[in-house]
Amino acid sequence: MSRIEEALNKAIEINQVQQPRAARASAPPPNTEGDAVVVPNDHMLLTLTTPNSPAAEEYRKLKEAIIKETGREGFNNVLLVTSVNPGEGKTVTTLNLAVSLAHEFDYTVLLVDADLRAPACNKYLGIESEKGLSDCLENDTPCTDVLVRTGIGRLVLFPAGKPVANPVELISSSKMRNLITELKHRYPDRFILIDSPPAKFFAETRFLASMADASVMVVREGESSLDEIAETAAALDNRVIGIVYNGARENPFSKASQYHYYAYSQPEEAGQ
Amino acid sequence: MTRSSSYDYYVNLFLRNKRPFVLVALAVMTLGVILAYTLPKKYEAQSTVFLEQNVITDLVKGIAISPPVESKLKMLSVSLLSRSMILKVLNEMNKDLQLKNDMEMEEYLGDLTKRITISYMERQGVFRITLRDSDPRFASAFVNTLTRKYIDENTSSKREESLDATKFLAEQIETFKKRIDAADEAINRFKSEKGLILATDDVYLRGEIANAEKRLEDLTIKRNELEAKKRIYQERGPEPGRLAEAEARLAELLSRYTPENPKVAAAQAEVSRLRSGRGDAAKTRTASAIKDSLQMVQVEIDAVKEMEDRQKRIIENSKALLRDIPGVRASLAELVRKKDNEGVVYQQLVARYGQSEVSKQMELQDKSVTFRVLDPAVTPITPVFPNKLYVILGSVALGLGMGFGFIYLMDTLKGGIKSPAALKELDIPVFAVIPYVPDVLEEMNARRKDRIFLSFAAGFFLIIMLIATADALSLQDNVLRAGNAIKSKISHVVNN
Repeated sequence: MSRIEEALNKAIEINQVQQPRAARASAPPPNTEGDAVVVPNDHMLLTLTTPNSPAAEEYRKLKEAIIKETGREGFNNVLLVTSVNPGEGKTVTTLNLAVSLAHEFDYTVLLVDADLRAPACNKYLGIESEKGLSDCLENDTPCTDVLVRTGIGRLVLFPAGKPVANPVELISSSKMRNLITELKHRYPDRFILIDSPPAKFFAETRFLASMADASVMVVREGESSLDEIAETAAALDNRVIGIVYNGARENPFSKASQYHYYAYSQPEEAGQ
Repeated sequence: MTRSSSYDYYVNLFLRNKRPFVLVALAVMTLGVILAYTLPKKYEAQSTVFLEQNVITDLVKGIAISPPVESKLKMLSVSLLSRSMILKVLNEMNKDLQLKNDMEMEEYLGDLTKRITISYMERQGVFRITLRDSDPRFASAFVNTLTRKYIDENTSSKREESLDATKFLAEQIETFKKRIDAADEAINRFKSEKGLILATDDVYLRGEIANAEKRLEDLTIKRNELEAKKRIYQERGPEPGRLAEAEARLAELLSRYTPENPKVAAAQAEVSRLRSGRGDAAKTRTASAIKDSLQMVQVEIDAVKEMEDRQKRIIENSKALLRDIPGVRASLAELVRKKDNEGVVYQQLVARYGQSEVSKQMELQDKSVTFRVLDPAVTPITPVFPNKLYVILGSVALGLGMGFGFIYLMDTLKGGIKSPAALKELDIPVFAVIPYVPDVLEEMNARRKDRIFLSFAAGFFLIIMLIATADALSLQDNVLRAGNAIKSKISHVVNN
């Protein structure tokens, strides 16, 4: 049994101990490549846990928009996902977008967790990873050794690895640029989604934006001001192709709220 | 942001920030309750005075003039709040002894004057003197003393206005009498001077002028005839007519007959006779006749001239009179008008003098308006300020407003976009609007904590409302008591 398999099995055990919430029933089918199945337990992976929820529907809209935008002039497959401030939901958005894309028959997805300061993708997916991006950049570990097949469609995770003291230097290095170029050309049929730190505070996001083909900015309601968003978009060389408006709150007394209708229409999801 | 999305946003903002909202609101309400119970109490003492208008006022209406109630009230308000009056009251109450120096006295007087209210109830015909003070006994004593003092002063001090008015009117009547007499004298003098002109009728004068002119014209014609006659006599003798006739006859005969015709010869002989006369005797007789005739004609001419001069004088005199008439009449009218005016004023003065006499007597006996203390001030038991109910209810409203204001301010300071529509300005497409996904467990925990927090908050709010209600009930009780007291007083007045 490989180390990855061991890690994944351990993750499964942890998930089972932690009593997953409504997610388990919607876990993806086992993948065909024989890797261990990851059962994410986080309620935020809505495309996986409640695929008929309004939020999952919105993520599908995001996927369609991304496919349309990136397919305009050739296949620009490297997409950076960032935000202005921390906590706006970029990791969750990246994960849900990745899951949604991975369910497509035509695409495989490589999710690169480039947030070396606060890596979270593996936690949401319930994966314990010992090595990752930082190891590849610091120790020249081959990237094939750190990639984790999640078992969710054709989604592969490139974890962040162990924390480092100099993330800006690592990300801005030519090694990183070469790595992105290698990933892009090695798997030209893949979507490479890069989860990055918030752009307002950390410089590495700007380097990553210059390496990526396009950027998507996640904006949470009531968090970032319009000026901040505009400034960040300018700092990312105006390569932001779209915005994901996150955390839109509905009036709980409004009839417009359709969440319960959707929940009602999917009793198996709601019940489990 | 559209209106509905804005509304949704603020509903959510409120729901998300329940705790700060409730904390701020309850803090303000608590402060309100503390304020309601710690503010210095003010008691209000009130004295009701009935302003009675005596029946004599109606009886002498039009004869005498008494000041209206409104002016009485104005005077009352001013004199009640006058420095001297308040000083007298303080002096009587020995309050001035407690004040150390003049500055303190001035400050106290200024403050006290502000706290005194005088209101007039027009329908009931009463006025109220009210004082607010922290000492209820002082308030009632002050109001009663002030009322009594005012009424005493009002009845003891006689108004000298009527007296002065009577005196003034008497002086004026004297003056106007003299002026009327002077005007009369002036008119008489003028009439005597210009009596002829004033007595002459201008129509008659015009007729006289016309007649004189006509006579003058006749006289002129007559004089011209006489002068012509005189000239003829001087030139041709006394029978110029016969010579002319003879010549005319000769001319006629010559036109019909030859010069040899006897008729013509006879006519020629006559003409020559008339031309040359017939001998010296005849000449002499003719010269004397001419002289007589000329004298006669001259006498007639002189007479006619005399008559003409007379007529001319008549015309000139009449015309002069005619010119003078309007001026003289206008002068007389002016004098008469002046006299009439003086007379009107004089008549009015005499009438007012009579009224003034009656008014003076009324004022002297103070029969127009009397004051009756209907309801002397009693020592108040319940303070009128602070009105705890209003303060508490006000603090509740203010607390709710400030609670929402606080969370709104926090949200504004935090910034952040409030709807996807706000992103339109950036020209970057919005790919998806992900709804807020709550963490069920966290939500449940938060709700549980919210329930506990809100239960405590509701309990606290209930206590505040109970305090307010208790005060409202006590206020209601006071109002009922005051209403009953007023009712009994009114019935007492009506019965009396």
